[in-house]
Amino acid sequence: MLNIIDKKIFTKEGKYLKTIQCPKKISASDLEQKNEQTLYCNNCEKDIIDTQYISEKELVNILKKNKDTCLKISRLNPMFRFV
Amino acid sequence: MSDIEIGNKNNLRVVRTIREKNYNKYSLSAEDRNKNHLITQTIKPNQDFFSTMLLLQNYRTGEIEYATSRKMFVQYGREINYPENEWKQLLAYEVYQGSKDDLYTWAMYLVPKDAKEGERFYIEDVIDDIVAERFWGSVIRAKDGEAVWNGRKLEIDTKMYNKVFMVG
Repeated sequence: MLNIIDKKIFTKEGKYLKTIQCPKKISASDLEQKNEQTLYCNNCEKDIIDTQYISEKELVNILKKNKDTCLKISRLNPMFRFV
Repeated sequence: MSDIEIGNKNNLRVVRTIREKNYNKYSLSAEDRNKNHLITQTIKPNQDFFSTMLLLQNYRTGEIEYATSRKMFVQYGREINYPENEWKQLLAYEVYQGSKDDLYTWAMYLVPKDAKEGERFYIEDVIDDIVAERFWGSVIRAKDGEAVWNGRKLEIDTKMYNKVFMVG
């Protein structure tokens, strides 16, 4: 499980992964479904990974490679603990 | 999954909802009728809540499964495949993931008659099926919400459901 503390994502060991911050304050209607795992943001013209369809391990690897990867995180996703 | 609740965090005036299934002659007092606009509507399905399902049968074992597609993403990043050479499609059918109990009945909002145009209200029971979030193949409806009175009807502010997810 990953912890989200004040919009920052940490591994269960406490390693910082990324801060969730969208300066555009987008809404669901700004996002287009590109494929099952990827959404497309019409505001930034950028792909967003929908974390409901990837594993924790995959997500950690993606963020280790690139912290600027945009994510969509549902509060219903049990992979995350909102602290 | 249960409906999503956002709560009345902005301490707004509350609009009550009465549904046909709960209505009887005691549901509305004379005061309720005199002091409120009764905004009635029929309840129709929302296309966003329909999804297609497949009923599949395994050629070898005869096992029957239902799935949203032949390649299905499920919990925790897992993927389940039903290849055409292993699974025969018996049926493709539509399911409605909204609130089925009240479809084709009526409901009403009780909006205070002193409501000002542009006033924001909290609705404890949203009549329509409104998408609050899509998660693991389910479309999840909003139980409550905020709406703005435009002088004739309540306009639900769907942006309030953005709090159900984070992007960035």
